[in-house]
Amino acid sequence: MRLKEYEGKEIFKKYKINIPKGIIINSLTNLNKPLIKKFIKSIKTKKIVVKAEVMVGSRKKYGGIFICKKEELQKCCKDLFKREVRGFKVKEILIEEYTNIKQEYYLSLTINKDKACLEILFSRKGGIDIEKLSKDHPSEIKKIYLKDINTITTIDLIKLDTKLLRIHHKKEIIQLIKKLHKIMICYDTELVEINPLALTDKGLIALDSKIIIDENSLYRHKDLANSKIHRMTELEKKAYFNDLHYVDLEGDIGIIGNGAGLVMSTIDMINYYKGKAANFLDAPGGTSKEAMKKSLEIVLKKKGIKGLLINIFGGITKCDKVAEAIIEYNKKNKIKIPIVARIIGTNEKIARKMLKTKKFAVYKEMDKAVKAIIKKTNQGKIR
Amino acid sequence: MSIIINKNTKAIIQGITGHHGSFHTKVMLDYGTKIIAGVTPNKGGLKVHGLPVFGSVNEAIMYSKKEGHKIEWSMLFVPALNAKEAAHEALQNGLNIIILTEHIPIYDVLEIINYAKKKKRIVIGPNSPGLINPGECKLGIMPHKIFTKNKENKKIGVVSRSGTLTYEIVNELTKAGYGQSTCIGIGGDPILGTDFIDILKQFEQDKETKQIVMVGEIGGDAEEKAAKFIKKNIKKKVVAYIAGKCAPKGKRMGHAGAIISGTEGTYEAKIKALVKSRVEVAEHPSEIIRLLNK
Repeated sequence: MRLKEYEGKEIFKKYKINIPKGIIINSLTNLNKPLIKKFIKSIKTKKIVVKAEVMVGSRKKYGGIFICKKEELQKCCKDLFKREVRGFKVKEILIEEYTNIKQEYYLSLTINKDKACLEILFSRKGGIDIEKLSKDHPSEIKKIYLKDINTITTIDLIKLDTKLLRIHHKKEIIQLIKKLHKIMICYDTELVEINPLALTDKGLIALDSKIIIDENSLYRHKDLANSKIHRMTELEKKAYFNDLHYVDLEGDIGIIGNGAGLVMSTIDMINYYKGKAANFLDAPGGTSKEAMKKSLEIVLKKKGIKGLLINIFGGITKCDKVAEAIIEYNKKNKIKIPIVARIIGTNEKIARKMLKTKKFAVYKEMDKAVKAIIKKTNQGKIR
Repeated sequence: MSIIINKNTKAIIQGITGHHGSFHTKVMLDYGTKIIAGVTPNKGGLKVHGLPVFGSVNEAIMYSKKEGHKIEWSMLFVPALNAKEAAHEALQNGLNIIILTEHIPIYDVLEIINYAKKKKRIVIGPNSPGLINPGECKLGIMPHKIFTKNKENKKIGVVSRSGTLTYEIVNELTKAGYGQSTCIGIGGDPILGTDFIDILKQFEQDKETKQIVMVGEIGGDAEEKAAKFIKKNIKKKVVAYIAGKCAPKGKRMGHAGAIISGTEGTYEAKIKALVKSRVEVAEHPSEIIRLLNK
């Protein structure tokens, strides 16, 4: 889970990493709050930085970051709230004091997946995406692999010392690396990135933060887990609390399947035949009747949904249980949109027979089922 | 011949008394897999499907030795929070491990993989459905009815990051008259003990494997790296399918590893790399057969 910039900066603050003074607002009226007024008054610099809190790179380039005068703040925030930055609506704005930058560095710690170790990346040419950096200035990127995951050893420090030779503020950077390493371990992060890391008269300042936390470790970080739930859509929340993997998409054909790969593949095939999926829903292996009913309940609540495709490949999942769940749910709730079920695997024959008797459209092959649901939803016929 | 496991492979099950552990032990035993014993801490002395249960891996190995069995593999059906400890125990006792468990914290996975490296043992997974050599040995949870050996000279090696999607594809293979040498699910997590390249290498060497099917998905860069490796080292025909073409950026699609972050892990980058390495890429699962026939 990627943290928002200000969430990351909160963590930096805890570890005594220098960040610009800042405050977050989520509406224009916030600017009239005494606390925020007081904060803005306290800013000594003439210029103010206004940043859209959207989680995409190159915000400056795409009009997500502005530098304005204090008196222009209101207008600037108003403009920004109306904007979309790389397709994302601006819902929160971070207001910060302006930093006088002498030079911009890049610094990050990340997990090297192939070597199964931690890796430090540093460059004197910061301020641009690391992908672009590695393309344009590959020789400028210093890479150091840490020998041990849990500690920075003396050998690592010697390596760092030589790799960062002739870099301004070398000692300070090494201190910073030690702090970032602590954040990596304490917060179970996959990435901690400071880009740009600004060189100023007052030393090094982290102007941005990008922290990605391992979702499987979130149970150890309750406060951040709440932040994850906070940014889910209503249906995603509902699914999350019922142990279902659900992601909202923009189309109108609801999808329920078992297995992440199979569901992704189903969505792709819908798209291949010029349809659009409304969601991703992966019911866990060994799907029970209850889980199937819950899945139906969630997907059918999706706004604008015109049809539903159920794609089950029963391994541990028993197809007859899935069929029973669909029939029972329909009896109680009378589903009004067309449904197509593709059912194959353990106990498939009984399952298909059960559904056919109840006049459901049932298929053995995935592409036939996909074509069928697209046809039904396009014509808008009711089953 | 086939890779990694064969009809003589012997294994133990860690977490044998749990719901899934017990269920799949029975299914594997029925298939003919040589499972010798089970392990669940604090539950030594029980019997599951006629197999003795021990409180530790060490005890299970001692027992097996006494009975004249050499154990090579352990399958882990243990909860995510106990997985690191269980894996350590198996590795310490010289076993290779298959981790079926999903949702293991990433730093635990790192520790497991580094410890295995030190011990020179193999880790398959985490979040793997296991592997099967049809007709010989199954160390996994796949519905084995759809897999076939096929006596003709048409055997496919299948390596995949996904479970049910692999079943979907194998089902198509079997229907079309293709048998399988080995099918292995390397797992849906971002960090894996065994990657595409490890398996591709072995398929290239394996005489039984005639062609290779590789099933990837969005997220990470394992497919890009595999593509580079194929170009240089694999002479056998490889057909690939990648799931997640229409997945939105920044959203985790079920698997922990299936997420496009920034410019990394996109469908387009993977397809581009594969095509560049002259790998045949299927648009959807049923197209794989056509490409194998070509």
